[in-house]
Amino acid sequence: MAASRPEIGLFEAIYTARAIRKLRHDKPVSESDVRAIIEAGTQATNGANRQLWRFAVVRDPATKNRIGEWYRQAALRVLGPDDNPNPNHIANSGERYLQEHAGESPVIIFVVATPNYGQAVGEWKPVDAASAGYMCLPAVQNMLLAARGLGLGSNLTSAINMYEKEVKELLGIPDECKIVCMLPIGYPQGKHGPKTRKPVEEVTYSERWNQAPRF
Amino acid sequence: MPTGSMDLFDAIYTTRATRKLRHDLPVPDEDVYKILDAGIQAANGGNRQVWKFIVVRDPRIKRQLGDLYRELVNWVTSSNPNRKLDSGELYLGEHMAESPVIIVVCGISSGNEPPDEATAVGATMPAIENMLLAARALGYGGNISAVVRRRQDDLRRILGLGPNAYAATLLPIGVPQGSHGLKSRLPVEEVTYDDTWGNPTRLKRPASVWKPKLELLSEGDRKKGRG
Ligand SMILES: Cc1cc2nc3c(=O)[nH]c(=O)nc-3n(C[C@H](O)[C@H](O)[C@H](O)COP(=O)(O)O)c2cc1C
Ligand SMILES: Cc1cc2nc3c(=O)[nH]c(=O)nc-3n(C[C@H](O)[C@H](O)[C@H](O)COP(=O)(O)O)c2cc1C
Ligand SMILES: Cc1cc2nc3c(=O)[nH]c(=O)nc-3n(C[C@H](O)[C@H](O)[C@H](O)COP(=O)(O)O)c2cc1C
Repeated sequence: MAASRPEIGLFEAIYTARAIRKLRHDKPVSESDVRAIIEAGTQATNGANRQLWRFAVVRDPATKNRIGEWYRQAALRVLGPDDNPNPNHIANSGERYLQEHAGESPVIIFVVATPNYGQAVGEWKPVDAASAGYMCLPAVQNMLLAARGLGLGSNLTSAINMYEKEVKELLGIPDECKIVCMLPIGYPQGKHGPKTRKPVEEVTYSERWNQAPRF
Repeated sequence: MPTGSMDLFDAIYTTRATRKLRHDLPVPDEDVYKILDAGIQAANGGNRQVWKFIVVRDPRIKRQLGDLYRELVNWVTSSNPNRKLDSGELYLGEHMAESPVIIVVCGISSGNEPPDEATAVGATMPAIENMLLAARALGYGGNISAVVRRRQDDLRRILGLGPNAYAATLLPIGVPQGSHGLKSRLPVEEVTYDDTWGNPTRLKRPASVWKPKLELLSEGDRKKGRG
């Protein structure tokens, strides 16, 4: 158990790890916390334990700036500009904030899937980039929970993939790899807290499709 | 929110793929609900929550799913000669139908066609991870059994899936026959780079890294002197 860390129950973490997009730029994130987040990621379930994930930790300000600018362009394409917003995705203030400030995050972790690594293992057929990508998503969820557990905030951010080619070139990520997402990490400006979700009853069926659940 | 749950990091480190389940011990509806409620808290694209869950307990439907799953395990065995399935993987191939409960996790689209495979699986994976962790904290084990997705037409028929649904995986849940425990993973140092690809990370294993409490370890883990 990390001596410096207050314990947090699993369910409290699961229920309060909401998307944190407004990060404090003035408060650094320790190396040991970054490592703990990545290690939590590596504990996730994953296809045949091939562990196709790699993590790139970006702290260099110039690199973050370039990434921040690409994310701004990407987010603008999804959300539309302020004066002509996308009617199908009404941006909340956090999404707009991240659009402008991703580059100022204390740390950005890129989660990268490496399809060729599976080939080297020689057990299963090599997986294509898309499957390698989704096999890393359980790891990402663990990382979001771990960040929450350490008092940090983060958000699964995949719109950056509109600039996947550019990011790969900047970071030297091989062509055949797939960027799953980036995780900007820092202390939250606001608070962790509950999320808005449809209740279980609305998304669950019993035995067969469209049969109401028993609970 | 369920109370008395286990520590977050204890759960993350000791949730492993659990394929040998007790068939004689039930998973009450209340716990299934808690597992689902943990699932839907997960990150998901634009909070559109494009997932549906089917809770299967009916022995007839479990048998049909079990037969299908067995066929796929046999097919994997014969089509991947280099990949020896371990005893847990083979066991689940024979005993899927006896799982106390099978949760079928589906991805849905807003239209009238199912989402494609990568979209449906990707949209549900973070929720599935939460569900496995929640099951662990409640004393259960489970396993993503996603090979079954290749037989979408059969799943569609057995479960009567709606036209906009894609069944991404079966998630059998039950009390483990063995114990929860540690997993084998490449260390952080081997999978992490700093700033640019290939540049070794300066992250060091800190003194405060998570260590298992003795009571979380299985016999086997203790013998191996892990933790
Ligand atoms: C016991 C068992 C374990 C499996 N584990 C995984 C897995 O961890 N990840 C995965 O993607 N597929 C898994 N599969 C499915 C096979 O990898 C895969 O679907 C099969 O080899 C066919 O390859 P294809 O679907 O890529 O064509 C598993 C199948 C079985 C029967
Ligand atoms: C695959 C995926 C991609 C996402 N991409 C972005 C993104 O590019 N930008 C962003 O602000 N949020 C992104 N999100 C975060 C979701 O919007 C967020 O998880 C969802 O709104 C739920 O937030 P909540 O847990 O705080 O309720 C993404 C989530 C997922 C699962
Ligand atoms: C996408 C995906 C598909 C999987 N499909 C199967 C499957 O069909 N059958 C199976 O026995 N395990 C399957 N698994 C489970 C993995 O094999 C398992 O998580 C991995 O071996 C790691 O196990 P561990 O966490 O206990 O180390 C699948 C996992 C993922 C992520």
